[in-house]
Amino acid sequence: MQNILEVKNLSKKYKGFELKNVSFNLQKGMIMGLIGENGAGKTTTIKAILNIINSDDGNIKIFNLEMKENEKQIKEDIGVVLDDSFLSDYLNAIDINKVMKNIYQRWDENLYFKYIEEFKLPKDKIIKEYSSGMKMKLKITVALSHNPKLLILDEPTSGLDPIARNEILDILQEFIQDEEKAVLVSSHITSDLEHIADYITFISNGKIIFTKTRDELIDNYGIVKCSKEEFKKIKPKDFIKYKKNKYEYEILIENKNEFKKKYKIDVIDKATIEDIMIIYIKGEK
Amino acid sequence: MNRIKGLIIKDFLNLKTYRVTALFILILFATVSFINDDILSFIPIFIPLCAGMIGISSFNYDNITKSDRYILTFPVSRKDMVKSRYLYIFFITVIGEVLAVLLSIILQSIKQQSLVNVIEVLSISLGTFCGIMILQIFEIPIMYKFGAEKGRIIQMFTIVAIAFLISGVAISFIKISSISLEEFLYIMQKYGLIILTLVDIFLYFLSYKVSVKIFSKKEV
Repeated sequence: MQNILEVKNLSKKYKGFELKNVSFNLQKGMIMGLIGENGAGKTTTIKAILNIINSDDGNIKIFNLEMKENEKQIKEDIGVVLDDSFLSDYLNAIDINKVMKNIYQRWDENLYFKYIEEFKLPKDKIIKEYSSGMKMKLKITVALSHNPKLLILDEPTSGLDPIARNEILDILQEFIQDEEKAVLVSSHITSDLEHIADYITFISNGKIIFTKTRDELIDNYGIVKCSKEEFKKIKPKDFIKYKKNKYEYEILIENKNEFKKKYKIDVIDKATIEDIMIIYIKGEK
Repeated sequence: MNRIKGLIIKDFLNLKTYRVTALFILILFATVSFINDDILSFIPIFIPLCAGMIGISSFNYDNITKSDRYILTFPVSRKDMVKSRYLYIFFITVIGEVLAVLLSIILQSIKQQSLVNVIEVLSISLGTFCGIMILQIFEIPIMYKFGAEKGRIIQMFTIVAIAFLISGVAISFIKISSISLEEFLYIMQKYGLIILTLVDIFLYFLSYKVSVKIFSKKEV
């Protein structure tokens, strides 16, 4: 399948934080969830992909074009939602249309107002008076209204109630239906991504831990809960990391079936993406 | 060019919040100058000055919502962003200037009920405009370098520094060229506006180039 986004060895050094050789590919028709704890490097990765910050090293290709040489052309086809920034709070939805129709060559005014109606967003209220959910829906509306081929969203569901979150996840799923577009979405609310993401890229401390399909993670990964004595019998190469709790050990394993066969253990819990993330970050080896 | 137009429209739309304040300032200045019979030393100076300040305040709006970061996700370059900001500040100052000229002429004709000295109004306005532009030549790169918050404080020191700089340049010019103060004042009276306008145009362009350089390297 054709890659829409290719990130290769992306690096950026700050005082006290470093993004190290981040690489992953996103294919057409896919939603990729970028997960990681706060400060792991998700937003820095997104900013570097979009050339908002100058990366020290690495290469970004979008729609098979080099980002640095074709920035304007590429950005015509990208819709972006950033968690912490937007247009002025004193503009309303009508004002935003007036601005954006000059910015994007393919800005679709009708589509924009169709979304505004659909999301029940007030047209003449200034953004400052919007709720968090409404503001996020407006950001997504703006990101969708020039018919982009790639959506990049940074924490689009943070701070929203479950209903608003669900609506946003539905929009993302609908967006990729024609198999020609793709979505890169960062979130620390991993349960959201469990519902919609085809791929999960886990980033921690500026480094990519893995990129795997959601099904691979949900179907194969598992958590074994056992006593100290039982834990001692398990070879380190057979688990990823373990976490010592007050009364038991939680062991994260990569292949439930193989582990079951080898250690004759019947009950292995399913690992949620959140479990995987926590044990990777907090666990030991 | 359309994208730059979009960014300028954004800044003008932000002005909606100033509607009442701007109208209040306009009425206040008009009334005070009318009562004091001091139209020409008040309106052509303070109205454009306020307009210029409102233009510079666009940095605050972007700072609050971190709009710069968001705008960089659009198909616009950093150079486009700086260009649009310069054009917006220039346009708003011109609007302030035009308003001031019109208001001065209207108020003078009401007051004097005789012929209005349009040349005098225009000379004062052009002089003020050049002065405001000198401020902006320094203010805008400072805003790009230090951001709206720190920039505001640094800007105040800059105004004082500019005053010293201009007097310094004038005094040095008198000393070096060995002309008397009277002669210098005569030259300034005759050619001052032309010199100031040409210097302004050159420095405004230089200021734009400096701002592009600063903003290109800035992490937003």
